[in-house]
Amino acid sequence: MNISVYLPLLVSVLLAAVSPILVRWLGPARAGLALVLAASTAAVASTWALVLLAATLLPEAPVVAERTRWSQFVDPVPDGVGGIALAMLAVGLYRAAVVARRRRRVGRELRALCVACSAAGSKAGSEGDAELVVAPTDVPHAFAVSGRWGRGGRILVSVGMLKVLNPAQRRAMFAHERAHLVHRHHVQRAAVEVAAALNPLLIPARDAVAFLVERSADEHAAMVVDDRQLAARTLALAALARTAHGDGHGVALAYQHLEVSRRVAALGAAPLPEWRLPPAALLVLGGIGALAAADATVSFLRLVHVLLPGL
Amino acid sequence: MGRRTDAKRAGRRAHGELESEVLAALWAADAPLTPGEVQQALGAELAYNTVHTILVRLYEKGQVARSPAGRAHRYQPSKGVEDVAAKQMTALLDRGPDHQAVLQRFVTALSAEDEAALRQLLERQV
Repeated sequence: MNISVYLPLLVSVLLAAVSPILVRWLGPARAGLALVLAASTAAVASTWALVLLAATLLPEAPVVAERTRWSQFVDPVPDGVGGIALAMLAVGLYRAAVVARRRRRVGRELRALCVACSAAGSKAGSEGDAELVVAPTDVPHAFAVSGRWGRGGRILVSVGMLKVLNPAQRRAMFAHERAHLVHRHHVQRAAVEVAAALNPLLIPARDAVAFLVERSADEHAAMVVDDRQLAARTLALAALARTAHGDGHGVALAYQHLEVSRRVAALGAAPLPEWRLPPAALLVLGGIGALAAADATVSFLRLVHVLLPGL
Repeated sequence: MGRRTDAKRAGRRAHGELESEVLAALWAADAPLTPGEVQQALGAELAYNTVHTILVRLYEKGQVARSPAGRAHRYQPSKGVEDVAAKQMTALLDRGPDHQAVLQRFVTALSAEDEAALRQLLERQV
């Protein structure tokens, strides 16, 4: 238990360290998915490890101490670690709850917005089944809006965006948003956001995934329109138009500033290779974290069994 | 995800995708368009009949309105409750950066240097 209980944290540190490297050298589709799986596994494993560490506080609770001989044994976990683990666990769970609630709320608001934007005169169930929903504002916006439970998503675009782009560019933009919907990128992003909330060591992995899903949708769009330059131009035009409407709407986060120009540059260059080996290595890394957590659990149960023969 | 399932999905979605393109062309235009004008606006990649069929389907779904114009019709998008929609959009986008991060946006605003760099890039390509 001594070493294995800390291994999931080490795995998280490694994932954080390789995330920026992945983004630069690997094709986005496989790397993104593998990073999502590895980071989610690491988050679950490290959270469980915190539970185990916090559980070593139990023998110090008076009720338990009276009934067991645990306190007579050498505690395998140094003093203080249990308390720190308990605090980290509480903060992590709280942060995860906040992230999950925020996601649900924004999702609900986006769907309500889609209904409001849908044609007033449209028949039965006024939402309709339209893929495209147009918002009546000149500020250029485009979003992929996932459906409830990830089904039947929509593309929400403002009139401003439609007017900035020509038909070929609009096709590239639609292809980008469809890629998000078809490949359920919102699920991938939600998973790493919760993972990073539970375990802040995974924040670089979360940001890498946010970037990789955009890159992956860009590559998909370039493939659909069969023209990387067109996809790059579309992105540049849309971003410039968006910036020209710098009216305080949607203040970009620092790393998002970087994003668009990096995406344009990536489309201008040759596609990065979609290798299989590095993503597989990521999955193995995540798996090691899970195995370590399982090993720590076994050690913990053995200890409990020794100390509480009645159980 | 295999190539085959992607292709199948593409086949199934093709109609919806064309509807989106036609609808987008109507929204981007400043005035109601005839099917011929829509066809032109889309770069004449689609047959006239295809465009016409899609417009009729959009009309039947209530997504576009039409008015007679000679032997054809002029089509324009039917709009939602614009005030409500615009207000909701503003409310959503005025939220703090944490909420912004949840949105799966096509693009975000640029920094001054990036703006200059992208402008240069676009000019080079023209």
